[in-house]
Amino acid sequence: MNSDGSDQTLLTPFASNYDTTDQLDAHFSPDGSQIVYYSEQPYGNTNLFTVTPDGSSRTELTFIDDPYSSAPRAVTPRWAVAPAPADTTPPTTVDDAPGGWVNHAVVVHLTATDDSSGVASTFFSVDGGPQQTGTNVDVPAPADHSNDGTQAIRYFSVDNAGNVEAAHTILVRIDTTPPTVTVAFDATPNAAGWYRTPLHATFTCNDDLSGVASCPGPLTVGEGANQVISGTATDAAGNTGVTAPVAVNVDLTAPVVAFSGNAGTYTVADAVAITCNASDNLSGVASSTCTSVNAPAWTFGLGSKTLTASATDVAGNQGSGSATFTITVSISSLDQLIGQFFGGDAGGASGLIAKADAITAAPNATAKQGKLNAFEKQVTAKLGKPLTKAEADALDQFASAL
Amino acid sequence: MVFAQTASATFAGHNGRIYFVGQAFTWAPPDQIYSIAPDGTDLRQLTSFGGFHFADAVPSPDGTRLATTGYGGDYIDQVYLMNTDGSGFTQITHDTSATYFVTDWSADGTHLLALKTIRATDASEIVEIALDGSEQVIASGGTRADGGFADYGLPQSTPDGSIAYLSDQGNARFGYDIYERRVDGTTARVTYLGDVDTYDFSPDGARLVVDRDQGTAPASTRSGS
Repeated sequence: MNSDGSDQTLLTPFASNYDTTDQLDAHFSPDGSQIVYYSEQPYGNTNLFTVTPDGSSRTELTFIDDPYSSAPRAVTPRWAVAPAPADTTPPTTVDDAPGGWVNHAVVVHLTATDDSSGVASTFFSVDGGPQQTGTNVDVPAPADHSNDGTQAIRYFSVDNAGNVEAAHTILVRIDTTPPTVTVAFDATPNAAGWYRTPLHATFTCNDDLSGVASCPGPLTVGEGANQVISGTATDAAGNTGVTAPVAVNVDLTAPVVAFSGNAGTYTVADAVAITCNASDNLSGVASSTCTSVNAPAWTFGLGSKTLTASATDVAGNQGSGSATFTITVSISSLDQLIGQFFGGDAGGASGLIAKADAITAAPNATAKQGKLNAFEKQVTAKLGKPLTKAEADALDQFASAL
Repeated sequence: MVFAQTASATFAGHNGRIYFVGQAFTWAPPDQIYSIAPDGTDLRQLTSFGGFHFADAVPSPDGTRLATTGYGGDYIDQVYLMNTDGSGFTQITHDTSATYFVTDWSADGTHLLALKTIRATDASEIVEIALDGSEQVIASGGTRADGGFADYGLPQSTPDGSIAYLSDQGNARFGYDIYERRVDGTTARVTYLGDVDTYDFSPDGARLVVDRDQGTAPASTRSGS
């Protein structure tokens, strides 16, 4: 009803002998579907009645019409909720422990349920330790690895009816220790720390607790300097281990021996200037036979000439190179050479040049031989004035080749 | 007025047995506690205490215990607890300077609500009693329309957590209306009927049933929303 008394529904508008006096102490049933009250009767008895909240249905619970009946006069009724049925079922406890290895501290939450009397307490112990009460089980994972390993947690709950759940045992696996990983190579470097073949690296991983989850595969190390080789291993708990970095030097390329300045063909009056260079772009040249040439062409003699050289790099690779050139003679180049030999003595040179020219001007072989003999005598006459023995021999050779 | 249904409203669940006090003319001892099934069958007498008189039997929220008011040879009503099978009878209050009339439990079953009347002054007050017997006053004092001290009665826990009770303050003597001491500590008058004998809230708090004594007409049980 409203607080001013309006909107009221009269629930007991009865006019029988049993309703002519007070109806008192009305109370709702626990589900609100009925109201219980007691009613005083004309003979002084009081009976219990139930009535629906809309007044449509009424039931008399204790019928008394004899004031001397042995049945009770009922007053002050109160309707109780039906007590929960007896609880004979133990509670159920579940946990959220990780299923595998972990590398961090874990708080295992124990969740207990009991549909009837309710959960009274949850108990647990760790690795056979003292029994504790609570629902959060701390499993630490200190950095010193002192708690690494498998922790057995035993737990159970008890409900308010005293039913004890069968104990559960779960395992929490802590591994904070990273796996080990090492690398090995299939060759050893030379004394200078260089390899001159492709290098094969293999990794070996180990983890004593959770086991190795991943390990680097074999590597082939190609050419290069200061190549850092490293590998990372992971264990089943998620820890990672890394090899100590190793720098390796691999040089697969031989050094280059190159000659430059080679004109290919020289007259006896020319100068030959050929430069030899040995190079290695990676490990560098360790040793070389390379020699440059810078000398008068006549000193090589007539014909094809070859210069050769070899080199070895720091890694031990060997390379070589060569240069070929030809020395020729003509009357003009011979004349120039004679002039070079005589230096500023143009007079001394002119006689010999004339004899050389006569060789080429000879009309036949007999005449040519005669002119050659004359040239050679003239050369001999010039020994020490200023011709050296080598210059004299060279002039004779070259004249013979005209 | 409309009794709002709140989140704290209690829905007690399935109907259990009805507990009451039986006052037999020819029985000895009189005024004992009985229970009966809601269909009127299975009448049981729970107590048979010679020389002890019970006034009521208030079931606990979980239906397992009864709070009762009774007296023995000293005729001083005190509050007792027992199990619903009549066992575990325990006295809760021991203040013989007052009489008690227990009428309800707190929703969580940890406290009782009772009318306490000081014997020397006949002043009444509403008290909340812990199960260890300690108590605190919920409502007291006040004056009626004629200037006399107000009377109180029938405290109850309401579905929204308030404590309701009857008082005739501002009315003629025994012209009761319903008041509430709310969770926030304030007090409010709920009805302006002036003749409420007893009352009860429906479990969902949406309806109210009252017994009114309307002058010469027979008191009737009424409900409204």
